Amino acid sequence: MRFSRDIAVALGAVLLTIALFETGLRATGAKYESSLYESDPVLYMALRPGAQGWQAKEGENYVTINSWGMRDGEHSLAPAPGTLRIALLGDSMVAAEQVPLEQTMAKVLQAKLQSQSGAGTRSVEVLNFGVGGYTLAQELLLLRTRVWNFHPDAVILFLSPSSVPSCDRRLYPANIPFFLVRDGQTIPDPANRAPVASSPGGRRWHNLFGDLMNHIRVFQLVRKATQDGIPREIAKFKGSKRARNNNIMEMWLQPPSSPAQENAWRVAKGIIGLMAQDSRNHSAQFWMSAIGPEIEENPDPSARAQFLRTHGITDFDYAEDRLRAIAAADGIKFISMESQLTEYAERNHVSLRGFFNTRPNYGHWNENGNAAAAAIVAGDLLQRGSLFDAPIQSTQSKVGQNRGGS
Amino acid sequence: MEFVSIGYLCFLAATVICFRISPLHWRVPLLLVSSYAFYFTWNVRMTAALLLVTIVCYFTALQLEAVRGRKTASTLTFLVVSALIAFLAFFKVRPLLCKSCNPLIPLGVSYYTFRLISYLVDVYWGKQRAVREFIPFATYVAFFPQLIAGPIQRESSFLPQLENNGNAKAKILEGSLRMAIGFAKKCIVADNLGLFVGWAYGHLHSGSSLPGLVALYLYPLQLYADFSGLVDIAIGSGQLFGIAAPENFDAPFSAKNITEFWRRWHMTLTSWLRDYVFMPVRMLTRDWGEWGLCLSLSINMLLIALWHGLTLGFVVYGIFHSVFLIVEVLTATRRKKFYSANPASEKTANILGPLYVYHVVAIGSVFFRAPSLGIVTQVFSGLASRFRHVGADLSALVAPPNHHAWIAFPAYILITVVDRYRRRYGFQLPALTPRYLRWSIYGSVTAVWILIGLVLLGSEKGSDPFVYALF
Repeated sequence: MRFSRDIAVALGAVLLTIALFETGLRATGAKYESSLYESDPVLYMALRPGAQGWQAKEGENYVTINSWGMRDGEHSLAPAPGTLRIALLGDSMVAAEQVPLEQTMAKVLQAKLQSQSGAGTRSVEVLNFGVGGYTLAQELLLLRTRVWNFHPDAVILFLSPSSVPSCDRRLYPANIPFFLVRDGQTIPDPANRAPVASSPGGRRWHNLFGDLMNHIRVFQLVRKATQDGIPREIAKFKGSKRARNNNIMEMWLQPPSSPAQENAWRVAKGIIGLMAQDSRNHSAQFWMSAIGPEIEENPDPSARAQFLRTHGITDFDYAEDRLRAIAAADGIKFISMESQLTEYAERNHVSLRGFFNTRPNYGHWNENGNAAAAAIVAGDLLQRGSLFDAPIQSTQSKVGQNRGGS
Repeated sequence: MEFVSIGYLCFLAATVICFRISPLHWRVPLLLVSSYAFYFTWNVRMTAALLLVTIVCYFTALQLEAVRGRKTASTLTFLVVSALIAFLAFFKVRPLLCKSCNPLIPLGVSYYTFRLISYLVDVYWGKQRAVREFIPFATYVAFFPQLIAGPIQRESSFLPQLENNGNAKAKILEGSLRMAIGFAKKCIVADNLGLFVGWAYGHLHSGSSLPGLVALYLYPLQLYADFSGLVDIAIGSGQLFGIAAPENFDAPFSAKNITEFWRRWHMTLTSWLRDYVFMPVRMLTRDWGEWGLCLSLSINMLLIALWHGLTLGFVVYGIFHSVFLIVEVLTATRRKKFYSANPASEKTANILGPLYVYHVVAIGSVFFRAPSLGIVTQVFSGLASRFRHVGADLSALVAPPNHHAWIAFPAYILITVVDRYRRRYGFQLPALTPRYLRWSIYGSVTAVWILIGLVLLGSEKGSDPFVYALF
């Protein structure tokens, strides 16, 4: 009896110590990555509806996922009458978890279109479907399973340097969905192994645990230490560096140099074609743009020149040119963003990427980058698009099309 | 292997476990091997140099004892001590002679050189018998917790503890708590204050007084938290092996004058210099009266300053402190008389003393911290600026990445209270502590160390380097 009492008191003391440590972590401003994702039987991985927590790797920002699993505010499925809806598809650059929601490209774009379109009473809604780590294949699946439910009038796909290599399993080894081009058709890879759908009870428990983790720093710390810290220390001990996928930068800057790289481009073209076709089926305009590597937006011309010299190339344009050609062949409108971003950064001497806790010009767009990108996209949509001229279709008719679509 | 790293914690834990489960006669060789392994992770070539100077000094001491009283003894001592000083001076002078060389002195060189010099001189003076066994002697020289930045422990207090390490178990709790205090001082106080001070030195041209004030007033606190944190980790680590080390700090900012401050700050270095520099010089100049005393003080202070680095800033730092020390020594008798006639004045002086000390130390620290005398001028001229742009400067001061650095202030107060408790009562549990309390304390301390380990694993950047590890 006395033994049990002593054990219970000791356990209580340990719990109290952990609680005090939690307080200390909060007081010292320690923040760790939150659990914002869940597994998905179709998309393999998706943002968890209602999840919220800190993103602290680049800058510090409290991220909230809406009830539809989007890094965005709440939206109804059906747009309000007369509303022009634009859906943005892309990876972490579009999700922009590093900046507050109001500073994301999606929100700045919405504000700019609203104020500059002269649309009068017509309101503009930009929906952010960007998800960190998403590949082109996942973006296609997202478009098919979720985006059309919101009846957008236009879809803008943003590709990034990992978009093309992630179309071939050999170049991008990860448990994600892949597509194949067989007999001219782009089809899901039969070798895909999707995660099993969780039971509602299991999902509830997972979400509960995720929410708990997002609110308790000590739990986040344990996750961070085990997922990042231990592999990093093991690599340091072995004297090895963490593996880096060289295909990503190589394929963005240079023509393919292997059958796998050739195949990745072929599959990327096929997936883009499917997205364009889907958009036509849903009477939505389909636009495309490319976001280059961070060095391309470096405001220092000598740093860019040095990079080009080191890599034995003359410009950063290979991937963008090729994507533009793909777009032209499919009748897709292409927004050339990178050259304008570079010019903007250089002219204004501002870093479009980088945060107080990262190197300058590193990683994701900061508030300047998001704002500059939004300005360029808005400018193109307003100048070249017939989006604001065409009468907005009624939600009823679009719902009907969605049912008969893809 | 940095002290504030998961690598060091794992290494220390593994060494302590091996030490505890080893038979008694294996423990000292184990400490020696682990100390060399620790140093090996820093610098392979300097590990060989450490072994070489240890062997040379070991045999020199034996030889000194054999020829004690003969002229050969003084010649031999002079030669080997000069060689050791030249060895240390080489690394201090190297950055001045060779611009492309590493400006940092190899880790620990200062501290083991001091230990070897004092050992040889003590053997020469007959204060200490030469150590017969090589392994305990080499362990004394290379003992890894004290290798980075001391404290400078004398062989007479270290070696007897190696022979009797049966108390090691009783010091596990004390050692781990002392280390935890050191980690907190470094990671919460020093690193956060360092953010403010770094900001201040980067904004000296802002046109307001704020950067100058921050640079002036916060750096002494940062330096103290950084250095005493390092020493706490060193002493705590040593306690895990049952080795008690001399204290290096004794609440220096509560000193009432600069003389007292230097008796409370970096105590093992100042006592080392007192025994091996000040006293011999004072003996040589004893016929010169007060002038001799002033000269001895100045030489002592200048050596302390130059040990930090051969720069004009450190020279001024040394002279600045010498002036205050000399004035205090020369006025000591008169002040004593005055205070005995006016007891109220003494009370006032005792209250205002720490304030005076902090200001003198803060002004001196500007010469210590600023990379050049030009920057020193900027700090002081900045103080004369008006409080223009202070609002904007304050906002910039607490903007990211400094937005959580304010935690350094409450943490400093809390740690000072805990440290005061430790100095007064220690962390050892009374013999009759109830079992539930013992288990609670052991469980909590274990939890704290697991959590500190997780913090180190989860940290991408790691801690800033210790200031005194560079000297």
